[in-house]
Amino acid sequence: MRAETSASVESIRATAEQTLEAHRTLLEPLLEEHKAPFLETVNNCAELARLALRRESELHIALVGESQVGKSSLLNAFLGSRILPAGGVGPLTARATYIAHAPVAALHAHYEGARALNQILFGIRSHLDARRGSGSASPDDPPGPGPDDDPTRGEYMLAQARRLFASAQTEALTDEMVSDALRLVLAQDRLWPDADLSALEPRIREIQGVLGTEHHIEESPGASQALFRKTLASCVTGPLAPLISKLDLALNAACLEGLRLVDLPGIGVFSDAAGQEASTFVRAHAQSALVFVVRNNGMTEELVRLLETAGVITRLLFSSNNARPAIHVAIVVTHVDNVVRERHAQAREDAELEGRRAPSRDDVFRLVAAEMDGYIRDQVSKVLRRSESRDAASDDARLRRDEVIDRLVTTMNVLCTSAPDYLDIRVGDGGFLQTEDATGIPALATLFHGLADELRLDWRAQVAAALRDLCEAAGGQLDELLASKEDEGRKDEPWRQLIAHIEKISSGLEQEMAAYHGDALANLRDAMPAYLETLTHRAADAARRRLASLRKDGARLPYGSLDAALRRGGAYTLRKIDYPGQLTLALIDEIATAWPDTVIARVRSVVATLAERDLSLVERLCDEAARFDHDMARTLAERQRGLLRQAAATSVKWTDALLDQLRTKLQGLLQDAIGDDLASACEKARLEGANRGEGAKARILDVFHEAGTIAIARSQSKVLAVLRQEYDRLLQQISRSYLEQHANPLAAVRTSLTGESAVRADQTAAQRLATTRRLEAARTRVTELLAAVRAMEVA
Amino acid sequence: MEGGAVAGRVEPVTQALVSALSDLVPHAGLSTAHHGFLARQLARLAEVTTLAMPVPLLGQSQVGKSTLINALVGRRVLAAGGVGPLTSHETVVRGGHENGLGVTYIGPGQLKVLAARLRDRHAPDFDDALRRAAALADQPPDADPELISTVLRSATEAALARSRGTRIAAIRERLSTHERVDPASVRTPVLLRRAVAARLHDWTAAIVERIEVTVTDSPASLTFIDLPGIGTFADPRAEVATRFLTPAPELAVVVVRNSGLTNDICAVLRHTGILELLRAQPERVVVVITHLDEVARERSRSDGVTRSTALRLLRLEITGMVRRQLAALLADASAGATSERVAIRAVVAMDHLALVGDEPAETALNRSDAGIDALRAHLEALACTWRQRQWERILRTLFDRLQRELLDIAPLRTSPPSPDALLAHVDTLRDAETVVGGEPTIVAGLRLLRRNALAALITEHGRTRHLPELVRSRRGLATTWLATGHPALARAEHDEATDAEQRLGRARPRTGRDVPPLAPAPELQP
Repeated sequence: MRAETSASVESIRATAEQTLEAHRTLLEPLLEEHKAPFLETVNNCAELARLALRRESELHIALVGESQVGKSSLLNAFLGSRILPAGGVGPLTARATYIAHAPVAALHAHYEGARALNQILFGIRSHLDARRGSGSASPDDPPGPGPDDDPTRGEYMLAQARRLFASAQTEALTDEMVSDALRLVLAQDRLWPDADLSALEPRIREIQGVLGTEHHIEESPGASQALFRKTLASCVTGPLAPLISKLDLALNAACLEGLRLVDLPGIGVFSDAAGQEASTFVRAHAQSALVFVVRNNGMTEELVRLLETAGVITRLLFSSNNARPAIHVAIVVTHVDNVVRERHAQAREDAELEGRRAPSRDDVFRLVAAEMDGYIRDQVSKVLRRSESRDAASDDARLRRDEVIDRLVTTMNVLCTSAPDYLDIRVGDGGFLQTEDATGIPALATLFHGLADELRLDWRAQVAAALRDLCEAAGGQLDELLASKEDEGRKDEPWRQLIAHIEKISSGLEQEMAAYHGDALANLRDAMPAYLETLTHRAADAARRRLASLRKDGARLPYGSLDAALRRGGAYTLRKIDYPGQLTLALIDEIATAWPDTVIARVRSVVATLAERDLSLVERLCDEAARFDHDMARTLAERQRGLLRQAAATSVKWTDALLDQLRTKLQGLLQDAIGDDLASACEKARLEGANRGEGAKARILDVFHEAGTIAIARSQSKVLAVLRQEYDRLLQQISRSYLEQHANPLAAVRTSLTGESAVRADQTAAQRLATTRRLEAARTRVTELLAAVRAMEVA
Repeated sequence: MEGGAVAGRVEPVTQALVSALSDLVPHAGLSTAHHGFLARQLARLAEVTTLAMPVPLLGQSQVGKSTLINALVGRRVLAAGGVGPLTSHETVVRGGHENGLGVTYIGPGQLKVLAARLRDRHAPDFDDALRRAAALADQPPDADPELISTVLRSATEAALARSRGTRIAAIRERLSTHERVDPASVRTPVLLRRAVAARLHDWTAAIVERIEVTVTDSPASLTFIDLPGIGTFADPRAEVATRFLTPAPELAVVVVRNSGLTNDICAVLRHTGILELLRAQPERVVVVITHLDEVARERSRSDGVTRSTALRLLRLEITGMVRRQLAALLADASAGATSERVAIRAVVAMDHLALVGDEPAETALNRSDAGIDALRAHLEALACTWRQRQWERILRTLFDRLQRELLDIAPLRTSPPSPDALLAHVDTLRDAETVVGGEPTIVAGLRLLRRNALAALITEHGRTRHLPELVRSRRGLATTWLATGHPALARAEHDEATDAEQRLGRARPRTGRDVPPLAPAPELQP
C-alpha cells in the first residue's frame, strides 16, 4: 500500500517533469517567437505547476495543541519508543520538530544567528531598564524604552537567556550577569563589569561556536538507540536549546514511511513566545494536514483562537468544495485514561452498591471514547458555526456553509488515545488499560497514513490541475497561432495587391512624367533657336561696333599703312591692322561669353527641374508602396533619388574644352568667311585704283567698312548655323545621357517594387508553411501530455 | 504567623469578649437598632471560631478541580472524569456532622432569561440553551424553540403553571427554592455522589443555581467552591467563574496543569480581582498543579528513576517555572519577591484518592508524594489566619460603631455586674489587646471598655486599689485617641488621668511598695 503510493508519487513526478520540460524547451520558445498574447498566462501556469510539484515535500501532518496536552508523548507512542523528549515541566518542544523517515536516524539542528541573539539582548536590556526605572539607564542606551515594551516578552527573553547560562553557574545568576554574558557572546562591552563571569566562559565560547551553524548528528550504527535519544534530548532540552531555530529529525521507523510529521510547540502557555510558532506554522503551511491534539475538555478557546487567526476556519468554511475539505483535519484526544480511571473507580463503587460486576477498564475506555467522539464532533460543529467568518456571510451562503460543516463534522476523524499506556503495554509493564487496541495508538497510525494519503491525493489533484491548466493554456495558444497562420495564407495577398496597385498608379504617373519630358524638350527645342538668333545678332552688332571703331582708328592711321593693309587683304600686322581677326574676335567673344551662362545654364536648369519632377513622381509611387512596407519603399526611393540627381548632374557635360573647341571651330569658320570677303573686296578696290589719288585713304576705309559689313552679315548666318548645330548636339547629348538612360525612373522603381513585393510574398508563404508545421508538432505534443495528465488524474 | 497558635488564643479571648460586651453593652443606654446591630456583631463574633473559609477553585476546564476537591475531602463526592466541562454550577463542598445535599434553584427571572435565549438562533449559546431548555420543558431536543420558550415562560406565571401539566407545575414548585435532600438518602459518599449527579443530569439541571454538599470527612474550617472550568470553547458556564471572582476573593486557589499558567487563566486573573490579591496578599493565592503524575510516569520511564523521585524532581522544576510565570504576570519591580510568597503545590489527586480509598492501586506513590495532605494542611493554616482576620474585622466594625455612637455615654451608670466579673473582663480585655496587634480602632475599643470596667470597679464597688491601673488605662486610652484622631477625647482622658492621679496622691500617700510607678502610656505602633 505504501510502496504503491510512493510509486504513484514517482509517476506523477515523471509526468509533471515531462510536461514542464516540454514547456521549457518547446512551448515557451515557440510561443515567445510568435509573440503569443497569453504567453505570460502559460508561463504562470507552468510556474504554478512547478510550485505545486515542489509542494510534495511540504505535505506535513502537523500536531497542534495546547502545551502539555501530550503531543510529543503521542508521537512517541506512535513511533513505539520514547524518542522525543516528553514528560517534562512546562512547554518542552520549543521549536517545530520535523520528523521524517530515513534509513539512518539523524538529527539536524539549525541554530539561530547573532541577529536573533541581538534581539534577545535588546529585549532584555529594555526590560531590565524598564524594571529598574528610567533613571538608571546606562549612558549608551537608546532614549526611551524599546519598541516592544511588553514585560511578559522581556521576562520570556530573560528566561531563555537564563536557560542558556543556568547550568554553567552554580551560584546565584543575576539578570545583570545574564545580560552581560550575552554581551560577551556578541563581543560587546559589559555593562556591569563587577560580577565575576569567569565560570561562564566555557559556555560563552560554546555559544559563540554554534551561532548561525547547523549541526548534523547521525546515529552511529553500533550504538544503542538510547544513546541517540540522549543526544537528541540534550540537544532539544539542553542549555543550548533556546538557540535552535529548526529541528529536523530523521528516524528509521517503518511506521514513518511516507509520512512527514511536525511536532509543533504547544500554545497557550503564559509568557511563552514559542507558542507563536504553531500559529506561524499553520498560517505558512497551507498544504499541511492538521491534527488537533486536545484533552478531554475538547477544543479550548485558545485553540479556536489560533484556528480563527490562522485562517483555518475561514478556509474550511469557504474553500472546501463539496467532496473534499480545504484542510484535512483530525482530532486526537489524549489522556482519556484519566477520565477512564475516574469513571472506572465510580463504576466500581456503583457496581458494589448495586451488586453488579464492575465493567472492565477497556470497556469503560470504549464507552468514554464513544461519548468523547460525540462531544468533540458537536463542539467542532459549534466552533465552525460560531465563527465570525461565518457570521459575516449572507443567509444563503450560510446555509451552504452549514452543509459543508455537517459533512466535515461527520467525516472528520476523532480518535481517543492513551499514549503512555500503549508504551507501557508494549514493554509488558502493564498500563492502566490492558490491550494495545484500547489505547487508540494503532488507530493513530491508520489515521496518520490516511491523512498522508489524503494529502497526496490533494497534491496529485493540484499538480494535475496545474498541469492541465498549463496544457490547456498552451494548447489554446497554439490553436490560436495555428488559426492565425491559416490567415497568413492570405498574407502574401497584400503583396500581390501592392504590385497591382503600383502598376496601376505608375501608369498614371508615367503619363504625367512623359508630359513633363515633352514640356521640357519642347521648351529646349523651341525657345532656344530664337535665343541663338538673338545671340548671333548681338555678336554681329558687336562686330559692327568693332568695325566702326576700326574705321575711326583707321582715320588716324597714315595712308601707307592703310594701303599696305589693302594690299594684304585688310590685315597689316606691322601697323596692327587686322580687320578679319578683330571682327572674328568680336563675334566669338560675344558668343563664347554668353554660351555657358545662358545656353548651358538654361539647359541644366531644365534638366534639373525635370529630375526633380521625376523624383517627386517616384516618391509618390514609393509613398503608395510605403503604406504597405515603409522600409522597402524608403530604400527604393532613396536609391532613385541618388540616381536621378547623379543623372541630372552628369547629363549636361559641357566643359571648357568643349567651349574652346566651339571657339576654335567658330574662329576657323569666321576667319575663312571674313578673311575671304575682305581679301576679295580689297583686291577689287586695289584694281579699281581706289588707293590712288586724293581721298584714297577714305576710299580704302570705305572698302574695309563695306567689305567688313558684308563679311559680318555673311558670317552671322554661318555662325547661327554652327550654333544651331552645336545646340542640336547638346540636345542630343542630353537625350542620350539623361532622357535615354533615365527615360523612365518610374518604370525602374515600379520594377523594383513589384519585384521586391513578389519576393516577399513568396517568402511569406514559405515561412508560413514551416511555422505551421512546427506549431502543429507542438500541438500534438501538448495533446499527448494532456492525455497523460488526464490519465494520471484518473489513476 | 502561626495560625494554630493564634487560633488557640483567639478562641478564649473571643468568648470572654463576647461575654464582656454582652454584659457591658446593654447598660450603655442604646437604642433598639443599636442593640440589634451589636447583638448581630456579637453573634458573628461568637461564630467566628466555627466559620469555614471559602476556597474558590479556579482553573481551566478538565484541569481536575473536582478531582482535587474529591481528594481534599478524601471521598469521591463530586462527579469527575467526564467528557468536556463537567462542573456547570457553582458547587460548594463543606464539612459537617453528617452528609448532606442542598440545591438552590433559580428564580423566575433567570428562567425568563433562559426562555429569551431561545429566540435568537444565532446567539453563541443557542444550542446549549436549547438542549437544556428542551430537557427542562420535557420536550424532544428538536422541538420548536418558540414552543419551548412559551412553555418555560408559562412556568413563571402562577395562573398558567397549573394548567400546563405536571412538569410546569414541578418547575414552578422549585423556582427560587432551596431543596434539602433527606440526609438518610446520602449517608454514604457513593450515594451522595449519585444524588449530586442525579440533580445535574436530571431535567432539573437547567434550573439548578447552586449545589451545596456537606461531607463528614471534609475539613471543618474549609468550604470548597468548585467553579466551572474556563477556556473551553463556547462554554457559557465559564462566565460563572469569572463573575464569582470579580470582587477580589479573600483567597483563591488557581488550579493548573503541568504547563503552568496558561493565557486563558492569566486573562481571568487579570480581569477578576485575583491579580490585585496576588499583588497585595500573595500568601492568599495558592497555585495547585495537577496531573504531575502523568509527567512523572514519562520521566521515570525515560530516565530510569522511581516515580517518587521523578515526582520530587518535577515538583522542584515546575514550582520554579510557575514562580517565573507569576513574576512575569506581576511584572513590577518587586515581582520576584512577591512571587516567592505565593504557595505553589503540586499534587497527584487521583493517586491520593486511590490510596485513601484502599482501592487496588497501581500507584507507585505514597501519600506524602501525592501532596494532598500537605495542601490540606496549608489550606487549614490559611483558614486559621482567615478566621483571625474575620475576628478582627468584626471587632473593628463593632468598635468603630461603639466609638461613633457611645463615646459620650461614659461612665456607665446602671447597676454594674459583680466586681469579679468586672475584674475578669479587665483581664480579658488586656489579653485581647496583645492578640489583636496594633489595629488602633480595636485597641481603642478594648481600652475604652477596660477603662469603663475599671472605672465601674472603683466607683461602684469602691475598689480604689485599682486606681493606678485606671490611671494607666486612661493614659493608654488617651494615646490611642490621639492615634485614632480624637484629640479632644485624648485631652479629656488625660485630664481625668491627672485628676485621678492627684486623688490617688491625696488619698493614699505613696508607699513605694504596693503601688507601681506610673508607667508611660504604651507607644502605639504606626
